[in-house]
Amino acid sequence: MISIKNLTIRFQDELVIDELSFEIKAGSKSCFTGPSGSGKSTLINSILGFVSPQKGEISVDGVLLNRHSIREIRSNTAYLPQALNLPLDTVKELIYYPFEFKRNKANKPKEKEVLELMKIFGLEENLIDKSLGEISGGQKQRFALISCVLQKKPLLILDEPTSALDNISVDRIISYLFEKKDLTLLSASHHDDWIKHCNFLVSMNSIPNKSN
Amino acid sequence: MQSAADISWLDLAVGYIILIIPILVFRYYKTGLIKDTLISVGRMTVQLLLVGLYLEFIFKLNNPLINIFWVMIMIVISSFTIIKRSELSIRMYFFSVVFALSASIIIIDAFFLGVVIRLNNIFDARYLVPITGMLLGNCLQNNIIALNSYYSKLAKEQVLYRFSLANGATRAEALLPFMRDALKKSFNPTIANIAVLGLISLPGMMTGQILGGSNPVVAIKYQIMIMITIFVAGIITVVLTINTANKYVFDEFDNLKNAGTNR
Repeated sequence: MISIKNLTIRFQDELVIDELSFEIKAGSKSCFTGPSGSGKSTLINSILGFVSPQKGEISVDGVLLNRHSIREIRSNTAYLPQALNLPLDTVKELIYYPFEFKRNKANKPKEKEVLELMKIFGLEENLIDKSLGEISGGQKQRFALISCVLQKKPLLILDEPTSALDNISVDRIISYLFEKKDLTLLSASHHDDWIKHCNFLVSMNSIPNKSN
Repeated sequence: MQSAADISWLDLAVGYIILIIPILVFRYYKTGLIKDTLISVGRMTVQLLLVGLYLEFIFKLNNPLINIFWVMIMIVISSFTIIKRSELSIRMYFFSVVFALSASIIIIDAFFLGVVIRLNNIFDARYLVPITGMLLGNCLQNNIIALNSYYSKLAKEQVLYRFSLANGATRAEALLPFMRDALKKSFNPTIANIAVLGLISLPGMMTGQILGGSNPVVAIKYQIMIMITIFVAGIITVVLTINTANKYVFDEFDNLKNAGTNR
């Protein structure tokens, strides 16, 4: 599904990723681990084409990531960023925002579908009518995750998806996501339980980087 | 109808004395704006005096080629001002702004002077130069606000932009909230201004025409058309500038160039 070969990323004089290589199979649940600043988010950003590597190759589903393929690759991903400071006002806006895009319109979920997933993720029904200012960071994170999951894309990319969640919520999400056999999950996380459940780990250390 | 009473050069000099009020206010609040104010007023005076002399000259000549050349100079100066005030790169934005302003001016001048006023010669200096100047002045204001809002918000809110792209949005879809916001910020004041015209503000052109001896009804008709055309010219300029500039300011992966370290 995802193949990284000799990836090297440098910001000015700082070497962030050095000759990193690995392959993630379709359907696997993978996690990039390592201390802050070790390049986890940079690696995700490079797979999404937001950061250009100095050296190396990235392929997604057998397609080499380049200027011709980037739009096709992005159209098959759902992405949850680490920072959720999106200028949106309500919970519904957060859930439905990606469904305004032509690519996702056909998958726009009915409210029933959203409510079912909210229940699974431990969110009360009445929260759907709230503004984002009225809910907690953890609730916001789960709503953003719901929006990603409902897009039903083959590749789900989550950058620190559990950073604002308690352990019960993390368990609920793990039980739901990790059961989906067809879903390829690519994540960056510090959370022990999350990491334990992943079947492919890429350990990012401070330079020199090594992949396991 | 009588034309306006002349202001003697001495009286004009006396008129400058009233500037003491803003200067004292700026001084009291330590705004650091006194120097800018004096430079601006100085520039305005010199520019208007030169333009006065120049207009007298080109009105007498009334040569279409010279008039068009003068309009082109106005467009180039406006473009530099827009880009500088929006704190953008001349190299990346100059073509887009010149193109957008030129297209907007050609469309609106042709419509206003050719279709509405039905001039035999739309290059007549007495119409072409002041109308174009008025259009450009307003386009300048709209474009500065819109470009400032659009590109600064885009640079600041990379999370939203990337979130959209990585969830399947095309570049145009991912940029939609930024365009929406730029149009609102830029044209809300214009729309509000149109609504209160005549009640609160008496526009400069109308006042000028009345003082110059025109019939008030004629002055009002011109003013209505001016308000409509500056609004339309502003919209055309903003949309064309941003859409043209977007062809140059993104890299092949749809990332905004110079948008920080890209981590």
